[in-house]
Order: sequence, then structure tokens, then C-alpha cells
Amino acid sequence: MTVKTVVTGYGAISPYGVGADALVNGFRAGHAAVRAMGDEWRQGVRGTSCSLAAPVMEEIDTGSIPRKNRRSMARSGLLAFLAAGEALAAADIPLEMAKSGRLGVALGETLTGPASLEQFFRSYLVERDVSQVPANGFFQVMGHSCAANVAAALGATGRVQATPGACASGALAQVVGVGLIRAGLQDVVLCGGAEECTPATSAIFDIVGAASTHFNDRPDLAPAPFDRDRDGTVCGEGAAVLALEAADSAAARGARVLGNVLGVASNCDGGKMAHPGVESMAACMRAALADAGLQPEDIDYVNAHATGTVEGDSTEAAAIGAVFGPHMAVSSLKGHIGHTLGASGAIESIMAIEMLRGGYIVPTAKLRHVSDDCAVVRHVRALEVTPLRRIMKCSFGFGGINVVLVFGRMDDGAS
Amino acid sequence: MMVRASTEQGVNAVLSREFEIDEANLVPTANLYEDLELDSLDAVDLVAALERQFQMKIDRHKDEETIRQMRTLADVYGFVDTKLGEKTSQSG
Repeated sequence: MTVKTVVTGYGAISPYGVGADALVNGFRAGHAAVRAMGDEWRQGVRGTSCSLAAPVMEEIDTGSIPRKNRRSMARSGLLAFLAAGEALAAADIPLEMAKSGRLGVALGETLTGPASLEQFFRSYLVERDVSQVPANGFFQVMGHSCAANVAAALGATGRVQATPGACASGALAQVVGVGLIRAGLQDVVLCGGAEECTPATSAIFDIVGAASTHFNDRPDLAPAPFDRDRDGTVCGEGAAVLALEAADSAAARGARVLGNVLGVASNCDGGKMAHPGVESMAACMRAALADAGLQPEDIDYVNAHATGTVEGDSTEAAAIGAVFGPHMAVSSLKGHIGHTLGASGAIESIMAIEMLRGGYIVPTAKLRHVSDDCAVVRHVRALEVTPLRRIMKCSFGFGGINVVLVFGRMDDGAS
Repeated sequence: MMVRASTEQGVNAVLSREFEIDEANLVPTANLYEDLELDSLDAVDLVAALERQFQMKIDRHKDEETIRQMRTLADVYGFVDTKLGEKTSQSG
């Protein structure tokens, strides 16, 4: 019999501010967090033209993190650690459990510590002098920096797994976490992702043709998932962590259950680096349904990955349409807070559970005219208050990484 | 060995500001690793921080053994004072 996985807590830092409450309240109220950063944000770098972004504007209080932990954390690591701490507290998991070996950490990010990396290469290539490079600089940019730093700061002695899968990292972490829990290897896995918002990150998305560049003075219009005039995504910043736990473990310690992870799936497009195809996305959705023992009609709403890119949104809409037909309720949360990249899969998973708990669907922001090539599902364009049984959450990342999760209400064990 | 007061003040400022050590603990006999809880990575950063504080260059290879042997805060004061003396004599 499959070990059931539940969610017992979560934490987040997002463009809405510090804390999961700020995240949930921001989405529920439909607040906008994308900003016009001004041309100077591009730092005079030629060849890049996106100056919209959704950074975390609130000052982050890192004073509570011991210096010896803080010194090896990039900004993304700091954000991830604070989110992980909030998740542990919300789940009422004592630190002793972290040290027991029964708690693991699975976190991913798209770019590891880009600000720290930039600093190193400025010293190395421009100043030609590394004598002032901090000894801990490397620990801020290594591929598993977030996961390793969070584990070290918590004293976690279980499995530590980095899950870099570009924009699917935060969802991929949950696939890993569920796998570890089902295998009986861990009772709890802190799963999620983080991302820093830097001009360089936006430039990279611009280079690959995925960034919005026509609305630099109209942050109210981009990114616009599924919209006729969408022209690319806008990079955001944040970190989110969910405490996934074996149902038996949660029951044994009398933990509050916020939701169920009913099914997970991940596959690879197996070919395209930047543009996953309809077939592999749809196959991943069907695999997640099969993993949950559910049929398409058992899902009430699909929380799309849709980031506002021309090709990505229409491909995803076609895949959802192929699996569910034209009446499935669909929305994307990227219009509100931009694309928080490695954090997005975890941020949106938190919102999926909150929408199940609260019985509402957050609409796609900035969707003024549904694009013809996306008009194959039912787009949610205004807040809908309605009881929900189960939500499918999609995340797709560069490299052809597809991840689909199925969440159920706390009282829904499904299969 | 007498050390200039300005050297002590500068070293203490670095340890307080960059390593967040309570100034009350910055006494000459304090052991860097046991009392002030620095580690080998901090030692690397301490050298860089001292360079910035005193606007001098420290040759990590030439002074490797001396740096490795430093145990107390007094050792750091003495090391920096010597380096400042070398700097003055070179520039003078």
C-alpha cells in the first residue's frame, strides 16, 4: 500500500512580502507586485531590454540566522532558510526531528546565487584579484547551495537533495520529497525552491526570447498569461517551502494536516530545451492522474505554469485541453507576481492548497483578451468562490522538465 | 611587545563589525578559535578584512606559517603591527 503524503506546514517569502500569510492575502486580494524598475536597472548592458521585475521589496531580517550559517548563504539561501523555518514552525515540527535523520531537505533554484557569482567574476575577471573574495563565496554558488545551507542551518541529518529543474525546481522538489516518503526513507521532507531577482537573470530570459520587452512602463500589462498580446515573462523573486510528511507520521504526532499530495509525476520532453511539446506535457498530466488513481473528471481546477510566453502558454493550454477538454477551469498566478522561477512551483503549490482550503480560484491577472491559440480551456478571469475537491498544479522548466502535482483537501485521501 | 593602540582598535573594529563578536570579549588573551569561535574559513576572511581595514597587502604565501600559528588576539595585534611597520619602512 502506498504511503500517503500530506502537507503539514509551509512558509514563503514572495514579491508580496515575508510570510505565507502575505502570499495568500496578496493573491486573494488580487494585488499586483510586478514593478517598472526603470532603464537604469539594466545597468547599461547592451542587448537586453526587459526592465520589469518582481523583486522582494521588503527588507529581509537575517539577524536571527547565526553568522556561521548566514555567511555561506546567497540571498536565495537566506530566503529559503527563512521560508523553511516558517514551514517547520507552522507544521509544529521540533528542531530535534530535523536532527533525527528522519527529516530531509529537497530544494532547487534555476540560477544558484547569481549575485554572489557576479561578485566573484567581477573580482576574478575585471579586478584580476581574488584576495578579497570571501572564503564562503563558493558555498553560495555551488549547485546544491540552497538545500545544503538550509540543512546545515537546521542541523538536518537526513537526505539532502538539490532539485534544480529551472522553472520546475520547486515542484520537482516535491516529486523527490514524495518519493522519499513513499519509500519510507524520510518521515518529513522540506520541499521547495528559491530564486533571486537580478538584472542578469532577466537578461538571460531576454536572450532566450522569453522575457517581456514591450511593456517596460506598463507593469499592469505584463506578464499576461494566455493573453492575445502577451510578449514574455517577467522575473520575480522569492522562496517557498512545504513540509511534506508521511500521513502516519503526521497522525502520530497529532499534526494539523493542510492538504494531501495525491499524485506526482515528472517526465522529460526528450528533445526540446526551451519549448516542451504538447505530447510530453499531456503525458505528464495523465501520469500524475494515474499516480493519484484519479480520472480527469476528478479534477476541479488546473493551476497552470503559464508564464506569459507566446509559445509556452499556448502549448500548455493545448495540453490541458487534450487531457481535460474545453471546460476545465484554468488560471495562472504569474500575472500577479511575475515568474519566481525556482520558487514558483512551491509558491503555487501553497496557493493550490489554500484555494482547496478556502474554496476559491485565483484568476489569471492581466488576461484582457484570451488568445485564440489558448482558447481551448475555460479561463478563470475573475475570483471564483466555489468548493474544490482537487487541484492539478503544473510546472514546466527549461531542459524539457515537466512536473505535475495533484493536491486534495485535507479530508480527501483519494486512492 | 608594545603594540600601537590604533592597531588594537582597528583589529577590534574588524572583529566586531565583520565577525559580530561582542567587544567585551575582545581581550588580548582571547583565543581566536576557542574563545572567539572563529574557524579556518574565518581566518581566511580575517586576513582580507585586515587588508581593507589597514589599507595594506598581506602576502598569504609568505606569511602562511605566521597566520597559521596565530592563536590569540594579541598574536593578531602583533602580526598587524609588524606588517604596518614593514609598510611604513617600505614607503619611507
